[in-house]
Amino acid sequence: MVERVPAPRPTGAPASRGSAGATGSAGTVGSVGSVGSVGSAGSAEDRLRGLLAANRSVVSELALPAVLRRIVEAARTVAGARYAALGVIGIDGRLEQFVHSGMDAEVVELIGHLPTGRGVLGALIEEPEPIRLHAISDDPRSVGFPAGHPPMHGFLGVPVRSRGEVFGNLYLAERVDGSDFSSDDEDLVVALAASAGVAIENARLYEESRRRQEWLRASAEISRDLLRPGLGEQVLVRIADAVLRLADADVVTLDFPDRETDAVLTDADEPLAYAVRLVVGVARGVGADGLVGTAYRSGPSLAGTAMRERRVVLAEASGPADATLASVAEAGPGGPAMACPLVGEAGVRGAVVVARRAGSRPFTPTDVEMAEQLATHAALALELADGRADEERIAVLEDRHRIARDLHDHVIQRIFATALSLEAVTERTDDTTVRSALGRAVEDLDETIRQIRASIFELQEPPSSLDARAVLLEVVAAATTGLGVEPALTLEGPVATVIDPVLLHDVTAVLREALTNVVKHARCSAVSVRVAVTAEAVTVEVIDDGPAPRGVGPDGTRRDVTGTPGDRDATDAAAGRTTRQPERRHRGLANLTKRARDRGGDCTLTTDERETVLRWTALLTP
Amino acid sequence: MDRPADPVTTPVTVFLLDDHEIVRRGLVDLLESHDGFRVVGEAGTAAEALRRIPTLAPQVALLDARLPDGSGIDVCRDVQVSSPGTRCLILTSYDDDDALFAAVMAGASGYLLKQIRGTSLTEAVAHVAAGHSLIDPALVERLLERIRRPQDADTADRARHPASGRVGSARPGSNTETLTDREQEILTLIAEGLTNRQIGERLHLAEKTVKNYVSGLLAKLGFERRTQAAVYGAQHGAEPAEHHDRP
Repeated sequence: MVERVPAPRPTGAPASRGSAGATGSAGTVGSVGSVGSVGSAGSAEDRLRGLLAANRSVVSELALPAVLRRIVEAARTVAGARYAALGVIGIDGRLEQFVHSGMDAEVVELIGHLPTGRGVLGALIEEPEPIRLHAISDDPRSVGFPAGHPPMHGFLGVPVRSRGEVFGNLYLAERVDGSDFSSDDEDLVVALAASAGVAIENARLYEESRRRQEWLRASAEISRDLLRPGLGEQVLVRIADAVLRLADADVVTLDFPDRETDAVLTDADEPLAYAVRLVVGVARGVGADGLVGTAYRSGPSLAGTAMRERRVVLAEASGPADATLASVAEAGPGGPAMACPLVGEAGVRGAVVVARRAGSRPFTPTDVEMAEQLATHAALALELADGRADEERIAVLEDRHRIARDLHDHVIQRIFATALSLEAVTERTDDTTVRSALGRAVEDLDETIRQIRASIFELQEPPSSLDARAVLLEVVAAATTGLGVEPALTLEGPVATVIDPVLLHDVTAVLREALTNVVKHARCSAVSVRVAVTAEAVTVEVIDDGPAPRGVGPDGTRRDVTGTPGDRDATDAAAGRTTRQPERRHRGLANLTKRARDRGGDCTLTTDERETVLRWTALLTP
Repeated sequence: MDRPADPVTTPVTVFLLDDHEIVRRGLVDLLESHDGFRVVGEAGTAAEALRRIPTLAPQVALLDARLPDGSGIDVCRDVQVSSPGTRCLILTSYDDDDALFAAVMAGASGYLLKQIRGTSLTEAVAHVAAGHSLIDPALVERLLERIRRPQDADTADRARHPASGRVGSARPGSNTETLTDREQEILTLIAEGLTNRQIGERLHLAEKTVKNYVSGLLAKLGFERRTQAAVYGAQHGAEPAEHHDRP
């Protein structure tokens, strides 16, 4: 390329339009060859050599900031200018970056702010064609210089294109020798701009491949972390960190549906998904500490949308609906943001929300792809954690099953066999003392079997609100927590088969009422509950050995509230419950009686010196 | 207490199937302490029982529900075909509901819980030997009702306990798989006390097919899930938490 010596081009013509749109083509290089014909600044050969050196310098760098700096320096040298700058055009059409050279740091400080792309600099943005001026102030588009700005006369502006888009502009001002910029200068800078475009593209590609490599490394690290048990939430934090770094974000959060609503949203929960509240579970970046635990409505939020639609959702300027975004946005409008759903086996488990500060560049497809992949990792981490929890639960269940099986296979069988033998011996003897002793032993063994059977039931059955037996166990346990003695619950007959949900409702109400009264009134040392069913009827008996309630039952003279001094009940009585409580008990009893009679049964409360028995029966509808 | 069997006439012949030798010992002790009973044979496995019962043709077979090589339910259904004169009682250490279910599914004349008080063992055996059933048809009807429409129970329950969404609590439903029409049909015939062969004749199915249906029913109705440890546990080994609750 260098050896080619094209024909000199006519001078004097306004070259600013002549090389219209010339970017990285050979034609541009060709025009560089014409530099020598002017010879305004050294020989053509010298200038060409200068350009080549400048090109080499520009393309030898890979990191974008360094590339930009070299471009500016090279342009300044090639054009023989005092000042040179490269303005990078942002998404809003203004100058996002302004890399300059030739101006003293004190002067830069004095001016206060860098150009944003108004006036002549803006003209080049609007119409990316080279501009060459004798004096900037001559141009009608000029808006003047800010205070403290040194005077600049000669001006040369050339667009820099990269990947077919205008990346920015090279601005040169004040030729060192005081002359105006020539068309040769323009040609040289246009040629340099072409190389600069390539260098910028290279730098960007390099940057992207470097990021992909980093992303791969992060992925691999996270994969390793996932396989290590016991890291728990730490994995999610690492993932958030990786996203923060790789997506060049300012804040990253992992948001999950409020535990109280539901852990996982399935397809069926579509309407619910809008109303559900999301809570920030993990946060990294700006204001991360304050974000964790923040709850917000899923409905209008980016995360909510991503979860409902099961896809990455992007926003160029986000609203304050997401807690995450609000933190970045502070008061004003938010910056670019995206949310990736965390899709698990059973449904969407949450979302990763990634945001940049207001005014930042939007996320690129690579950013999105990367965030999406890391979101998959996060979802996987959650699934694995669940899997481990399941395993642990299964281990516990297995253990419980094994204990239940042992109780069944060994303990019950032996006790039953022993009881059978005792029973057989009883049949053979006529000695009444021996018979009754054996009878008591057999009864004890039977009771033991009954208790073991109840234990097996509890060990095996994960509490199901469906099974009447489980419900009764739970109700009795719950109603007597304050009692101090554990009530003996006996179930007779096929309870679960006979007691349907509606009847169960009544039976549990009876138990609760009866046991509440026992707890409140009776200072008893033993309570037994019996629920017996036959094909025709259900009977509930609550028996306690405490004193009889006042005014109820045949022995109405007994009082239930006259405790010894310091007795807790007596204290309660002193607090004014003495008259109310028995009445309440009456009302409760009336209520139970009504429930029983509605079912063709009855409710009675009988009491004697030893015990108080509440007996409730209901006939079964055929 | 009331007439176990006329001691003057021939005693009731009884066969015992229980994998616990100590339990068989106890049963023999108790039954033989009465003149009205004679234990004619014993077995510790389902296979042995199936081999011996047709030969011995006892009046009553006491079958443990859970066996190392099968279940008392299977044995009972087979015995009804191979030894039609033998009446079966299912013996179980679990509670009434499971015992009732097992007895109904087995087509047995009744069930006995492994406890001494309550239903007298000797009375029950005598009663069954006399041709009576210990199972109240009304109870069978209730049992079937619950099996057929478990979802009603589910919804009723949920309506009443809306706040029962405890984390990790089993979501009811693992035992509420709905039965197919054919399964419903077979279940009704089982409840009527029909043997596999009779059901096969009624529905024009092979006996073996019926047997498969019965096994499927047992599994579907949660017999595996709940009573598994009682009946199938030993056979299948530990298979807990088959029904993961996915909240």
